[in-house]
Amino acid sequence: MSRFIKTTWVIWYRDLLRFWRNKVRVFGGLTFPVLWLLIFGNGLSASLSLPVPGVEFTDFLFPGIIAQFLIFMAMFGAISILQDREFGFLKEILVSPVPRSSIALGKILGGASIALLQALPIILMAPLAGISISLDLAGNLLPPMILFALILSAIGVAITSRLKSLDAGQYVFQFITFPLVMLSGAFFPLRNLPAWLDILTKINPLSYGVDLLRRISFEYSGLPTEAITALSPTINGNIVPIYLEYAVMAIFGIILIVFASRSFNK
Amino acid sequence: MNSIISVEHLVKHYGDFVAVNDISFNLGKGEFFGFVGPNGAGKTTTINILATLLEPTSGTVSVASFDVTKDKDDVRSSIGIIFQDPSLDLELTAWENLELHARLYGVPKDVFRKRADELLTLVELLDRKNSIVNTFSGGMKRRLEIVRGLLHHPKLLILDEPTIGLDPQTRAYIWRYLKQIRETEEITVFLTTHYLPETEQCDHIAIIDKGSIIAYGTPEELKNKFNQQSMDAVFIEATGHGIRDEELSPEAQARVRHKSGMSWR
Repeated sequence: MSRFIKTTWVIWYRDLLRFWRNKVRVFGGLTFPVLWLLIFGNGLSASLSLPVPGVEFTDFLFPGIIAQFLIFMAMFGAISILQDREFGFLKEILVSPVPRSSIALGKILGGASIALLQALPIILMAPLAGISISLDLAGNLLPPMILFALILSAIGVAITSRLKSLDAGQYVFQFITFPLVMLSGAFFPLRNLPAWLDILTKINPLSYGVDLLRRISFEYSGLPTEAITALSPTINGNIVPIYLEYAVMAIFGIILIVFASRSFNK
Repeated sequence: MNSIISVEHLVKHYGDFVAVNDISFNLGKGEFFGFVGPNGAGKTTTINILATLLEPTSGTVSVASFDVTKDKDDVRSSIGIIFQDPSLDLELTAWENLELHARLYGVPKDVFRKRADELLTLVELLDRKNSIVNTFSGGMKRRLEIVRGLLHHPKLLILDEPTIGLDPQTRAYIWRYLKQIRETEEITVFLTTHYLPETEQCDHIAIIDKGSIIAYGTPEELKNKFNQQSMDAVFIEATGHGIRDEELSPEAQARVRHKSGMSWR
């Protein structure tokens, strides 16, 4: 068991070390959420009114951008497995006497940590969306952010460990991430949707995670309490409670991590 | 049993393609063994089976008396391997690469430091230990890989074309280091190479072609058998003059077949 934990840590540590070496990656990704919030958010706000009075489109978009950024960064992080395969280092790991599942787990944790580190500065942009910024806000946003990072990193590892080349990765990733993001409520409110689309968004476990982030950020933007749940997913007309949203994300995460940890077994 | 590698009736198929067709050989402790053959003959497949990266279709293979399909971790601990293609983390320093290796193989910290210092001194890389590997020349990377392969005191060192792409001076240096290592440590060496003069120092050589071992013996025995003066001439006599059209190894071919698809195991 201690061997398992040690190996997981080594693989994790290596990913963080590489991330730290590559300073461009630490801040380079941040232009993307700024553009989304400033240009896309304000652009749509001008001509779009949300079904909730008093809520601007930028307020709505802010938690969605955190989710979207985490999804893309965590999936992108898993590409490092394909780079390791291409540059040969994966072989060095695979011929070493370590449990295969610890290799996968180390990769999941490494990718998730990096995605989280890259996404944390987005919280500093909260005032742009009318949210008062505080440590309290950050502390509340953190648990759903961690779940997002772990889930997407696990999906990424499960896929990349089975792919043989970098170029194949790009296509498969787009095929999986775009529907997940678009159906999560990160871009548009999941209200008054056509029945088929409504069902798809409710099946998507990430919808509940995006809603968690939204409820938290709305709480800190001085909106009336009815506005906070006004955009939350409903089942049979009842608003899904917070604990259930956490449960959906956590269970989905556990299933994916168990599945992904078998990736290198052969 | 005193053999470090024991291969009996090893067969490996990729679909219909037979990459290794019923080969058997033994390596005694401390032996220096050359495994040569044309491209696509089955050398890399055999190495990947020894290193537990591939499962044999049939036959038994053991390394340091451990079975490669059952006691994988014991086999992995017993082997130090230098792959044909580089396998260092180019974004990390030489020392960090070694440290990762030591942790993966469970080498205690103090043992690691002493061993790494000694080996880096031997291959004359000690002053570059804190440089990022990306700044190294091909020869320096190879020397670092040799250090890494030896770090955990393996019983068996596998060298898969260790001098490929290096200039003659660097090749000579690498062989000098390896000779020194063989003198100071009790290590068994399994070598594949296309530079046949390098096999002159081997205790035994096996020539593999189309998945079968077609000749086996000491360098002298093989020269006498084929009535030739050099190992190069022996090789050509044994495997024929034609150029092998196989551009890709069977593994690479299998990889291309699955390239854009996923194989759910």
